[in-house]
Amino acid sequence: MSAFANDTVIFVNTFVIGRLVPVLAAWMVLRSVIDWSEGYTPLASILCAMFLLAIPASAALLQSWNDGTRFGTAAVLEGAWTYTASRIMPIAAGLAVIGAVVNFAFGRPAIRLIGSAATFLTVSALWRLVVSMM
Amino acid sequence: MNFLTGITNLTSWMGNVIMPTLAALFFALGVLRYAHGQAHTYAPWAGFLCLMVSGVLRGIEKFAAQAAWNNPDLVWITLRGMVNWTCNVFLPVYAVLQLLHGVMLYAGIGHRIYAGGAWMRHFSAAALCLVLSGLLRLAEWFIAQGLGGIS
Repeated sequence: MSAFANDTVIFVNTFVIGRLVPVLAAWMVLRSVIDWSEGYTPLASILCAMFLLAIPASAALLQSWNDGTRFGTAAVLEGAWTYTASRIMPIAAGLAVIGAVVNFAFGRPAIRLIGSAATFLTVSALWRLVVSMM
Repeated sequence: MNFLTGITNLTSWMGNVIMPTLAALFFALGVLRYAHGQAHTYAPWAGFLCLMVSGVLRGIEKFAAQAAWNNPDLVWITLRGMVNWTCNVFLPVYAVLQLLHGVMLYAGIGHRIYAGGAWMRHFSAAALCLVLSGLLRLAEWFIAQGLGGIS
């Protein structure tokens, strides 16, 4: 059984993570160009490619949030929420501002994205506000 | 390689490299639309906004940092800050622009002078084509002057 587990780890690390995932990420980059040529936003495919390339780091991050107790699942979810609200959302605010400027330049609605940027920066307070209303 | 580094660099690259480069394109688009007598005012504003991406984000961050991150009132305080800035900072500046626009219209600029004679629009468009680099540098200078705030 240990030999099977060892083979699985080697398969995942060398084939899936080492070879397959970078190729899929490269295809996602190509897809972003095709999305753009069809009039869709390329951002989703670019972020997907980045997420694929970051799978090892993301897996390590998820493992670091697991406290090893019987509440490990909730701890991982709490860690993911904190990480998303405190690290990802401020960056998303920057992307929203860029999107607002691009929308303004092409005559599309932009105020909604400016409001989104402000909301991304205050998402933790929004959570606290909802809790205080309960 | 981790996801946070990736999107941080993506945002920084788009905001600090691509958008200022596109600003020149929007200024050029404004000149071209002006030369053809089409609506052109939005294009230079888009160019200015392309140069101000970081500033706009820093402004919103400033509005969103008026209270602790876990203060339930932060959403209201942020909204209040944006409304306050719009009404007390942006609108007075916009009023000056409107006064200037009104004076120019009263003097016939944009009505009796250039719109009434297409020849003048083409001459001024030619001049704008030749001074576009200078205009862009002037816009960049205005943006750079704004880094220290309005004194």
